[in-house]
Amino acid sequence: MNDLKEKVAHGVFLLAAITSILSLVVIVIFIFTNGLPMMIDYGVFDFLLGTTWNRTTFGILPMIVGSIVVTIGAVLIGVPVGIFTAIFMAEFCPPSVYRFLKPAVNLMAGIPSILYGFFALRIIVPWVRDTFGGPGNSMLAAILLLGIMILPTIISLSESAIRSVPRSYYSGSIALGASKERSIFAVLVPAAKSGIFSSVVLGVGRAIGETMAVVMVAGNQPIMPRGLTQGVRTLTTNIVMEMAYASGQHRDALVATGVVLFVFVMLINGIFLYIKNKEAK
Amino acid sequence: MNTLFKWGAILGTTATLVACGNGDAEGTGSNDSASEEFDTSSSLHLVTREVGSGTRDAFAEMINLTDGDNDLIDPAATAQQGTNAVNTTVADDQYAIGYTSVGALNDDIKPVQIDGVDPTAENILAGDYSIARNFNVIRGDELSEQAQAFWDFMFSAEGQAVVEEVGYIQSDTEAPAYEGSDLDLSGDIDVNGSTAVYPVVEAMAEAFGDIHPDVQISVHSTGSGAGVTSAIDGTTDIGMASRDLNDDEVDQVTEVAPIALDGIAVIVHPSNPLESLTVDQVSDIFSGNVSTWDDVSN
Amino acid sequence: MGSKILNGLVYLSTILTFGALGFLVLYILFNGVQYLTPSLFEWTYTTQNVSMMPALITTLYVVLGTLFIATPIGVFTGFYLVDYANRDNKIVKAISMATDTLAGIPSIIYGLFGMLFFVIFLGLQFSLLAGILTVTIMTLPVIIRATEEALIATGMPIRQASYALGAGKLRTLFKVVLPMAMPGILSGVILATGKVIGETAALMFTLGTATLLPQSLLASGRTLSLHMFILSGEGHNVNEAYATAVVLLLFVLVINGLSTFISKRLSKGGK
Repeated sequence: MNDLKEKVAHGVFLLAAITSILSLVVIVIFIFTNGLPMMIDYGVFDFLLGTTWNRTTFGILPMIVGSIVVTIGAVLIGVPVGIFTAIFMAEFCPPSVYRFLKPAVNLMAGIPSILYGFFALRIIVPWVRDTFGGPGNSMLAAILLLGIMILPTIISLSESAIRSVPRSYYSGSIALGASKERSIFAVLVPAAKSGIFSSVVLGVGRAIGETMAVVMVAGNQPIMPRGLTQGVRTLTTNIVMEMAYASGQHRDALVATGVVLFVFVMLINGIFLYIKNKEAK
Repeated sequence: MNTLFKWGAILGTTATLVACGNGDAEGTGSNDSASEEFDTSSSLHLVTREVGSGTRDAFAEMINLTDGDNDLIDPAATAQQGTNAVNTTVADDQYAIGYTSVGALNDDIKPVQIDGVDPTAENILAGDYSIARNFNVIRGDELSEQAQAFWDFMFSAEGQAVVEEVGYIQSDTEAPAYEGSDLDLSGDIDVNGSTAVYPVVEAMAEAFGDIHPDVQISVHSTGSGAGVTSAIDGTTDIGMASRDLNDDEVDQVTEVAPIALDGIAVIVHPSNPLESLTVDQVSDIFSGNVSTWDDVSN
Repeated sequence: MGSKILNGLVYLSTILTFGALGFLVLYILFNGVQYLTPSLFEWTYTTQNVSMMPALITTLYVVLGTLFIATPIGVFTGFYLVDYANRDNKIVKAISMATDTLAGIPSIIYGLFGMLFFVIFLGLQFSLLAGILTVTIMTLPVIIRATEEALIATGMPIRQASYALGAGKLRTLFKVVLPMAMPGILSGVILATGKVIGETAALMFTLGTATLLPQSLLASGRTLSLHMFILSGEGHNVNEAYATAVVLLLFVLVINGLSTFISKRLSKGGK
């Protein structure tokens, strides 16, 4: 009797566990079977390297470049600020302050992207327009916005990476006469580098995949990026801008844009998993 | 002590930032900036709707910027999703120029005369204002009883009264009274399409709901393209489009009819001294051939 | 190199980070609270009152529906991974990998998939059901990871003690391990709730944007986040958008407060 119960439970749990794999497989199948044929039909090179995007011509190079540039910009801003903040939280911060900061970081991670986007639309866009000229809805606005949005990811992962470095590293360094700062920056941070790096990778993933906040501030022109104060369209915003009405080959082209985005995200995930596995060993 | 100081610093910085931010927000939202000097040597900031928008299609066609399936509106123009996103962008940016539905005009944006004619209801109805289009509703298949009643309602005197209430122009000023008030209707109606037509149909749906409380009407604002497509493939009962349908589309639908008229106004920031443009100038501007406001004034 | 500079950078970055957060929160509160009028909470949405009530209730529907499906699947997956499968098993590796991958997929891809699969292929149209199923897949990794961590944290000794007393695997799991792991699982569920409340891109093309309260699983609606996105795109109702933002923010604050509270209790009482 009990034996049967155990067997049934085992089966049910296994079934539940397979849901994830199944979902992933279905997602991949549906995105790729809807997107790839269009790409091949249209010509992979024309699609990936074409610089014109309109109702009949589907070249997504501007969006690929847009996504990459915006992500790099966000990383340049978010990563140093995030890592320094993580160092503060792990090493400088007295427990009484930490009690407030830790939930604050969690809150930052929990704030919906729509609120970030709205905030950026009302604050960052006018600020960029007044300070740097141009229309305001621009690459710079998107970069600043994403720079803020990836902070919680980078802070919490980097912080736990720094905290997981054995304490003896730090005390050893102090015992050898190094200053607190030197011990932190020359000993702790290098020892935590793979954890910090994986936080950066996840931050990149978040930046490249962000949609709703970016569409509100980026300007969304489907042409090659022309400068920081000019508008830009990313892969994600390309999909969300036009999906509602697209049909036929146009819709497939948007799904194909999704395929390209998916491949980017898979690469990033792959790097992340690789680091994680290496660390585990 | 040290801790207190750090907290003080963080809070202080935050408070300052918030204070500055509020100042900014007030400055951009209201007309404070209208008093600022308008620098005509500045470049134009074109604002357009996204590809697939009926307003964009109708506008491009009327200013002669079409080329087969695509339009010739400068791809470098800031693309905004939705009628009002354009309004907000132009209201916030002194050097912006965009186009919007006349029914959606407000005090934060300034409409420009076209060939010396103001975009007003009278001028549009009289045919003097040249950039005007129909707000269409489309049906693909056989309609359910309740959807048919709603369809009739839209073209009735009651329905047309709503058009005027929300600030648009009636397509039929002598429409017959609605005859279905006694019908006992229930069920769902799905309406999908143009963001510009959306407020009109949404308001009509509310008026219809007052008569038939058991009917649920969901109105989705997605875009004219989506409205036409979904009416054709049957995913919605009634489609909305803020442009006229092309021949290919007309062949695939059962009926398409205008519920309202609307002009498209070319809009600028209230501080902009520009008063009037010709259609050719508008065409030049939106194809990206004009770079600074100096070039427009001539 | 000057440790003063590094020190300065650390403090500057911290102030920037939390300054930005504080700024955002206070800015939204300052601008939104004053517009929180009773008419925003009327039962039916009209173009005049722009009520968020239907959106609030729809959000509740979506959250409950999602948790109803995702919680058992996620928790059972956790059970399987920790207590039933061999850690070096190929299936376990595949499941872990799939979970990590799902967690990394951007929400717009989920939206795209949901539209292609649930809305079009399965013919669900824009509906509660299509929306719920799409976000269910999105939230699975959150619940799986939380359950896994909570179960691992309970440790082997407690299980061995239970087995030694003659309890079977299943009984041990439900009577001994699960109560201990509950706070951890719960905080995962709360995180998942937060994720659903904040979601926009994945719901836009699956749930649709109808302003009505959905009357059935196959009817369309809009959640608070979607409502907020549509309002903020429309220049007409900026004040109402601010007010909606306040409500959304309050939700997030409450949810974060809850999960902090639970994880505090976990660290105090759990071990």
